[in-house]
Amino acid sequence: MYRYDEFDSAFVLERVAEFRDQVARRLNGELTEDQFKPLRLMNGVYLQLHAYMLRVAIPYGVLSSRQLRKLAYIARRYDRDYGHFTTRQNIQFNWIKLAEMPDILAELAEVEMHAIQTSGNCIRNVTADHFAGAAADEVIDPRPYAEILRQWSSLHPEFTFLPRKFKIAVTGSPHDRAAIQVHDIGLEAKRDSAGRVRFAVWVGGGQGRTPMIAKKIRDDLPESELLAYCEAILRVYNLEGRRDNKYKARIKILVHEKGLDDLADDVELEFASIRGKSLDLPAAEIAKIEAYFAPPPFDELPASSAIYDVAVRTDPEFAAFARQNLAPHKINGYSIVTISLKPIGAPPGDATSAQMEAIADIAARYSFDEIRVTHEQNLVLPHVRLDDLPVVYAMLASTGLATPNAGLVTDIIACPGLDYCSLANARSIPVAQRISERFADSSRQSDIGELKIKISGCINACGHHHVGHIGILGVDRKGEEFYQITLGGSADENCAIGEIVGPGFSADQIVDAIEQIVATYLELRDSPRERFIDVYRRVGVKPFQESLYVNA
Amino acid sequence: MAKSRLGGLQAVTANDLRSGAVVFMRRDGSWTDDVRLADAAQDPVEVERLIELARSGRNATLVVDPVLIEVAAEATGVAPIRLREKIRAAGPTVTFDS
Amino acid sequence: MSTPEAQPMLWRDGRFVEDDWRFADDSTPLPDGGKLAVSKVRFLADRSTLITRSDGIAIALASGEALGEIENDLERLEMIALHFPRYADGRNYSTARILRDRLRFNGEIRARGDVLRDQITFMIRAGFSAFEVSHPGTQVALRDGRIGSIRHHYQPSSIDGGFEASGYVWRRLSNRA
Ligand code: SF4
Repeated sequence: MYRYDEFDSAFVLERVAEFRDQVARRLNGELTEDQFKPLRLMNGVYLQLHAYMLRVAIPYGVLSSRQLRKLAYIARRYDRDYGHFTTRQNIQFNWIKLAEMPDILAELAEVEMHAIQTSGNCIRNVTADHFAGAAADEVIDPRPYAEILRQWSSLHPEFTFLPRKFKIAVTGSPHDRAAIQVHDIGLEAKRDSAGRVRFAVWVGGGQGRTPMIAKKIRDDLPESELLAYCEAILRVYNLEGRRDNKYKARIKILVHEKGLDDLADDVELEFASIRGKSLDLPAAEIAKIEAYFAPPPFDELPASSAIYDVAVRTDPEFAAFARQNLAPHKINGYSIVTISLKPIGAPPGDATSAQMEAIADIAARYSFDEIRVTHEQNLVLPHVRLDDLPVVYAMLASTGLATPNAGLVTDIIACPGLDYCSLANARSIPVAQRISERFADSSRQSDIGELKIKISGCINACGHHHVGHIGILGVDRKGEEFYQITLGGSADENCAIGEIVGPGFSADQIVDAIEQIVATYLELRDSPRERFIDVYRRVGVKPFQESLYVNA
Repeated sequence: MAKSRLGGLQAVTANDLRSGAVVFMRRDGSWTDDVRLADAAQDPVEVERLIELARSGRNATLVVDPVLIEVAAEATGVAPIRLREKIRAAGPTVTFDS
Repeated sequence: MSTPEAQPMLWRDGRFVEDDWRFADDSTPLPDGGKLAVSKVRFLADRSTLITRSDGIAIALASGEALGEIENDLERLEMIALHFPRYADGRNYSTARILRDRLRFNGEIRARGDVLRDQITFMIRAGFSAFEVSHPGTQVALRDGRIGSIRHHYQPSSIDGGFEASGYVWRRLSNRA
């Protein structure tokens, strides 16, 4: 993975010192809250319902054991012994004191981490495929490009006061695990017929109040022009994006109102003046970054493992875990392990300090020291030998981290909602907990198969409800929590925005409603191989509506 | 203005500047983390006095975003009415332990 | 919102200086002599007389105002003033960069309006060379040299000169901010 050089370290320490000064100026009254708020937000410090929240950047979701241990330490020393992994591949601490923030940032700097641009109207932490460098279907490792984008976008002097926040995601696999089509810029790295790296560039995707799927603005961008082209898009957006209404300020609205062709013309005009100059990426420079992401020293192993096969045959619990939480690795004899942070009935995405430390230990020993954070609020051990899987499984199980539900109905994404978030209309976490408990039975879950439920506590859609197979949106109806259901959303390469199924449900009704939708699916499917999303695409929303509102 | 837009009994809440903790104001301008001990008012003039006091000079370095919330007077003391404020006063309705 | 205002002071070349420009509004008759800044509307309306003045002319642009109609007159201008209605309105960072990088404007680019200490480093890197500052804390910070604690930059900008940082082509190091 990428390691800081002296330049990176100096930069982050300068930033810590700057923020220390800003916090001191706020505490002594030199800065008013109005003046301080944007400054703290640029360091990921929010004031939530109960306390300050600190959002720490985990660039493209890649962590080392040492970094994860530091996060565990921060949770224990400065917070309430847990952290919350988010849909942006970041971690949030919910109970931090403002006066201690500068010390925490200094602690993070020790392990090459920071909280820069995890908030504010700037280019946010760049995200990428959480299976990068490991997935069997990967064409190009997206991490070097994500790292180059991370550097270029850090405190960019021109793009720190954009109309609204700006999110970039990168994938290098035809199967999109990074949800690039719901990002402001989505990048797919691929090879052309001559084997050269090219980017398909998508622009104007997003969720929130007006969900939109991105449009492809370029299909053949040479890698050397990646930064120049992104800079051109950002410049046009900075100048032309709407600033009169924050709900219309994202680039998706500009794409929609201006039309893709006109926007592309403006971008090309800027691009023409930027390309071939100082933002041009020489191949040697890309190679230097790529070297940080060179494959770890994999062993040469056979494609199958007797130890693994025996464990699958003899231990049904391990077999269930293997069926659900493993993904194919590009190297023979290795596997990708998803660590579900969705134990039945627990708040999605939370991990205790002890759990983080346990995972750090396992990764150090069995996964080349690497951990990934997924936008589905789980963690990943990217490179585990098949031979080691039974041991890794046992270690995970002993700290409550072996729930075999990746991709199943209880692997729910939920934003913090009204339990923590000052913008929320309704709670998300308790709904997720109750759904999880309702579907706790693991044979029932595996019978239902792949089903992605995503819950947001308000229209900002941090819980990605628009792209859930089943999306749940919390609304406030005359002081009461209500939940609106959407069906058929999808965040992958067949990206779709879910359709509202009908009137909302009260907190008491919502779990029954979800169960009814699942029952309808089970009736409608041709075979257990036909997934929920397949059935939905075949039959549409109608049959679900009919069964859901039958007594209405 | 904030003045009696809410109508009924009201109290002032904010977050402590240094810790971020939820706090409630007493009549003398001091802050408590126990909502039951907050001082509430119904008379518009008194409500206005409370929020003015909360926004006055020295509070700028003690608390953040003081606002009025609707409360009820219960036997045990002042209690918030809206769900959001109940959660602010009592903490998240979910706890994390595994 | 409302930052307390002091008398605006002009910061240029590392110190506060007397402002040598007058800003004319769109209706009053133009003064006979002296350096004069006008809006784009006024410039276009009175272009023929303005370009004959010998004391220097400048154009003051609102946030995001397009450069299209004045591109060909840039070499006649000594100064372009770009207004920040709120510091969070960042359009003029891009305008400044277009002026410097694409249009090769070499005169003064002045920031006016909500100009605050925590943004001045960004403005300098985007190509601004003078700052009209009304915010008392920012005036003090400029005078005391407490602006811009970050010298390491991850991207080329409009004032790079020779400061190429070791490491990667996109990195830059400033001497001081
Ligand atoms: S979706 Fe709304 S409630 Fe949930 S975290 Fe985002 S802003 Fe808060």
